[in-house]
Amino acid sequence: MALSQTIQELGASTPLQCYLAEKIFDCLCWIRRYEEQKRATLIREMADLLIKQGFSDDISEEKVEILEALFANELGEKLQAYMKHKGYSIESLQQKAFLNVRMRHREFDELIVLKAKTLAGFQASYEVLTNRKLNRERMELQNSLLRRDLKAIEHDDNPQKTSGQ
Amino acid sequence: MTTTLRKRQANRINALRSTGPRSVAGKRVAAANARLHGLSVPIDANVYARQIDSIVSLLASEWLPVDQAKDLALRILDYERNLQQERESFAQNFLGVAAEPTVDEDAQRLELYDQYFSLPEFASERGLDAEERAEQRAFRVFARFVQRGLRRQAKDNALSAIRYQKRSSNQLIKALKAVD
Repeated sequence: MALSQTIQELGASTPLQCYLAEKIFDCLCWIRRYEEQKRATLIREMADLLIKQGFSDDISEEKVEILEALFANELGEKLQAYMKHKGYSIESLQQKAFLNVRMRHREFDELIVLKAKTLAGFQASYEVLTNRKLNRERMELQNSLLRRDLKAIEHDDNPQKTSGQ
Repeated sequence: MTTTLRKRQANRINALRSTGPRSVAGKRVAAANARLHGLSVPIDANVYARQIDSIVSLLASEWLPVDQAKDLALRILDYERNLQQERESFAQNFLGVAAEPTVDEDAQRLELYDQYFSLPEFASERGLDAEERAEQRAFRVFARFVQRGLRRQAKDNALSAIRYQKRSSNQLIKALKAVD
């Protein structure tokens, strides 16, 4: 969902409302980004368990193949055979990787919770702003109604005054 | 949701038990925290005068009192500053912009390094003498020390970033709700 769509759906018209709509969209993006990063961390750890990272930062071609297969959820025969050779099944490999990256996942979870809370806060603030706008419009309408009534009374009063004179 | 009296009292008692810095040295260290990233320093209205003015003029359509509009502008700037820090930290840690190895990768590498250099044949192959071996040992001790520091720093940075973000977003939301 694009930012313009969010702004349109929320019906933001003033700069502050647009800003809040943008921040709501931003929070959703960050939540999605952290979720994806959690998955990427797990997959990287799974690949690391299969092929240990050496001294260099470079990733071997074999490892790239494994990473691509894991990201695409495609467990070919070759990969399964390699996992078996290393003494893992997909479940045990996932479990071990989960165990290793649990602290980093906890950090991601904390960030996601923070973003979710901020999102809820922005949504509530947006409602406050929208209600405020509605209240202002209602007050303006009431005022114009009162003004009209007052004019009508003034008009009604005038003939009486003339008759009194 | 209002805080009950009982809860408020409990909070006060807990605050008294708080383990903040008490010694002079501890207080000095805590005072220096703000200089690491500047996120806890309030936005200076004089420095950001131009930005504040443009935000205030944009908020004109909300019919806010000038003081309230200025306060909201400050909160917006503070929140944006935190977001910027979050973007940079994400790019650095996960997108590899700075190409820094993560703490876990460093730990693994160090383990491998340890295994490699502790092999007896390594010393004989390369013909290391006692002095060189001592140097290697000293290096390993130093690397472990750096490793521990890095791990602590990474944890502290992540936690402090969350804390400052939480604070800035809460303050912005509070200021927005006060618009009512």
